[in-house]
Amino acid sequence: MPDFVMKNICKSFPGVKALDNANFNANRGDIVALLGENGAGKSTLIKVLCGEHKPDSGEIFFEGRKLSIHSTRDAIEQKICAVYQELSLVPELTIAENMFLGFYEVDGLRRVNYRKLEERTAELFKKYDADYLNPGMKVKELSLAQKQVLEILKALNRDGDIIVFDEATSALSDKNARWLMNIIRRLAEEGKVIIFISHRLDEIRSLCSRVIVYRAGTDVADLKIEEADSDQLVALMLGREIGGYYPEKENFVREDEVLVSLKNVCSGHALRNVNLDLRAGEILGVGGLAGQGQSELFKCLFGLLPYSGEIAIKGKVIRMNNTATAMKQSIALIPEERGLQGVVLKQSVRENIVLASLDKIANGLFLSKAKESAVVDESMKALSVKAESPETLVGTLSGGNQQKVVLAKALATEPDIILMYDITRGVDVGTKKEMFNMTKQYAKEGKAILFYSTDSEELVNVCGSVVVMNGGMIAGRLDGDMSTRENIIRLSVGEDAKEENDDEN
Amino acid sequence: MKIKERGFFKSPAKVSILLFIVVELITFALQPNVLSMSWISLKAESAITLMFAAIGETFVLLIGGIDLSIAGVISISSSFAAVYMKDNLFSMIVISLLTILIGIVIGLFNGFVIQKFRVQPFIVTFATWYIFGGIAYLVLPKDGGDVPQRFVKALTWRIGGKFSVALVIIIVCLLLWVWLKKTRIGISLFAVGNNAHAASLNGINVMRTTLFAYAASGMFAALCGLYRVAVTATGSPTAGESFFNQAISAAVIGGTLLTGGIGGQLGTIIGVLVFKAITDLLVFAGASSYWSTLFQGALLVIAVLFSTVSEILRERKGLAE
Repeated sequence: MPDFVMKNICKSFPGVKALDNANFNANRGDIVALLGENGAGKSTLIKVLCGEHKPDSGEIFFEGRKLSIHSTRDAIEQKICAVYQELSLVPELTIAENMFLGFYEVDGLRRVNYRKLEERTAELFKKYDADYLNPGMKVKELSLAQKQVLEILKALNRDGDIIVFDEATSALSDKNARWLMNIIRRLAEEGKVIIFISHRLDEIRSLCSRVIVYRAGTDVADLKIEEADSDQLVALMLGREIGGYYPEKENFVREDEVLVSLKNVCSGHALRNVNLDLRAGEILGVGGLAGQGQSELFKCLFGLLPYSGEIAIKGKVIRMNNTATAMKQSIALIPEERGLQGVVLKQSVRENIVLASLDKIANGLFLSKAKESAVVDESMKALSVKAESPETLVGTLSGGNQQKVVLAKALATEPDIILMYDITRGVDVGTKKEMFNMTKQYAKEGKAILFYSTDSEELVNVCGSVVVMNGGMIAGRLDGDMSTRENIIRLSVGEDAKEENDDEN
Repeated sequence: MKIKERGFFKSPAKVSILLFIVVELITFALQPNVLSMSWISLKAESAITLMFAAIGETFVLLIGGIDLSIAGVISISSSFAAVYMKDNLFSMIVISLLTILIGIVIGLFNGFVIQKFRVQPFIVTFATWYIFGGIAYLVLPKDGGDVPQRFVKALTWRIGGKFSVALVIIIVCLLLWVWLKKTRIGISLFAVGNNAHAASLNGINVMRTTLFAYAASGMFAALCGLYRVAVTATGSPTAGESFFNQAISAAVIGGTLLTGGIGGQLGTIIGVLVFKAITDLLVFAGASSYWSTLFQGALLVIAVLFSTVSEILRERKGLAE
């Protein structure tokens, strides 16, 4: 029997069988990828392992011993720890306080021993080359990428035997992703069991020794990584063959129709003299390492961040003071961190979709039911949102479908300018494909799209042109054939773009 | 390496401290020779009941809840103690302890129902307020009761003729808070109030933390009722009703957020002092009691605006530099 086994795990929620006799196994020193579409049961499996959900049936063994896990604390005490995609940090506490949260050493007066806390945090950061983080800083002051680094360090600090990485690379820059990969390899060499969840096949390929594929709540395949080719994996995940991943690129740009024009836009240290033109029908990619001002650029355009300089929409200079101004200019933002910014989890799909476009469906003082259901039906169909009915609560949908609701909500306002901020983060391949097709469709209709992604492959394949940001400035713009992954990376690290003669990649 | 954020401007209590200084300066300007140990002792005595209520409420606000039932607990403990306490040491101790126990049990009940069945704190504590407010009437139908003189004397005693017991208790509460804040349970309060899901993922027992907060609230409400019996020498089945609003106001003025995770007892204690000092000033100025209600409301608005505006300014400044 392998060192770590999860056997016949079942877990039902009202109306859904999330896990149906699901299995998982790994040996010490293995890095095993857990692959599957959103809603395939990966997250539920991890939540069962980490004590967040109680399984209806099934057993978990480690080194022949049966584990009984009744709470998150049980799991941590039995050396199971996880890097959560949704982050398990407390913003108002300091970095050091977060690192040891729940497991503080106390002194004679039962007070937390801050001297030890400080020493051990510094020691840990040094061990993992992360001493650029100041342990005394509050977590709320960190960027999303830094928070994810911290989430990783916190799990490492727990010194688990079984470590789960749930989409741990999704918000990381390429550099930090490499840092994490090295750490994971090191942990595997130390004999840990590593469970690695990711949607990036190249990552899985370079890191993992085995891959276990989940579909519809159960494991459908267990393959050695050398034996698994990408098409086969994608087919296993989807249960059906899919064709090309990205839609064919076409040029819909209307050169003389500039919808958005930025002149010398600055905001603190985050944005410096940004100049940018966005035309109707254009899909303009925004790339670069994580945290180089991309998020601030999007926030400025949507009235969420004070700035100096000029933003002109359709030739008219507009002061973007708040989101209402932005929406009046027909701008829609599809944000990151969907649970926080994008959707109201406790409301239904219908309520979420119409939230931003209430004035469009109003008849005088009252909302028109007919107009409302027309808008909702149309958006749900256009994006193929998988929900039982428009009345289903968004919080009960899978991650990919939640993201589709975010899109539907933004698009129901019928915007001319769409700001897409890392919309495919943590989304499965099937949904990604639908999103790319839709993006293309909107460009064809003459909308202007600003498209940020942490995945440079997406930028290259979806966008006509890409601007690369570095240190709050636009380091360069890549058009046509110049838009390659290599050039994006070159510009992000401060080099010049090069004409490519040979093939991409 | 700096491990803890310190400094006045980062403290949530800063607004109340500033207000306190301003109000006291005005007081001393109007009454130049008023400052003395016995004056401070008197202030402590007049503030201590509200302080108990506000301290209890602050525990619950910190975890992101709200406790309306303190009004009921104060009423029942005031009635209970006034009716059953006899004029001997044994009875005084036993009845006091029983009163405190009643408060703790009501708090535990609140916390358990809220956390176990995921009922909104507002509803649960609203119900317990009415239940125990009602029972208070059964115990003591109208103001009165027979409060032992020695009990009154014990709690209004001036140590060495100067230090009131109340002042000592306030200092003890403050020291206890300074200690508690950095214990495991203390940090858990902030963690749960800030992000309960994240806290539970880190193995923090959210149920235990919730029970602690509501039990503390119940206990301090009972202490408030008990002390009120001593200070006024009567029991009252309606004792709690004025306290609920004031306790929340004092906590908010002191920088504790209703959304949880930010604040603390230092701010709350100062918030109570500001609250009382303004009332005293108005009385000194000869204004009617209607005015003090109005001013208390205005004070609440000002305090909230101050803290949110300074937060916004800080964020803007951080970005625009």
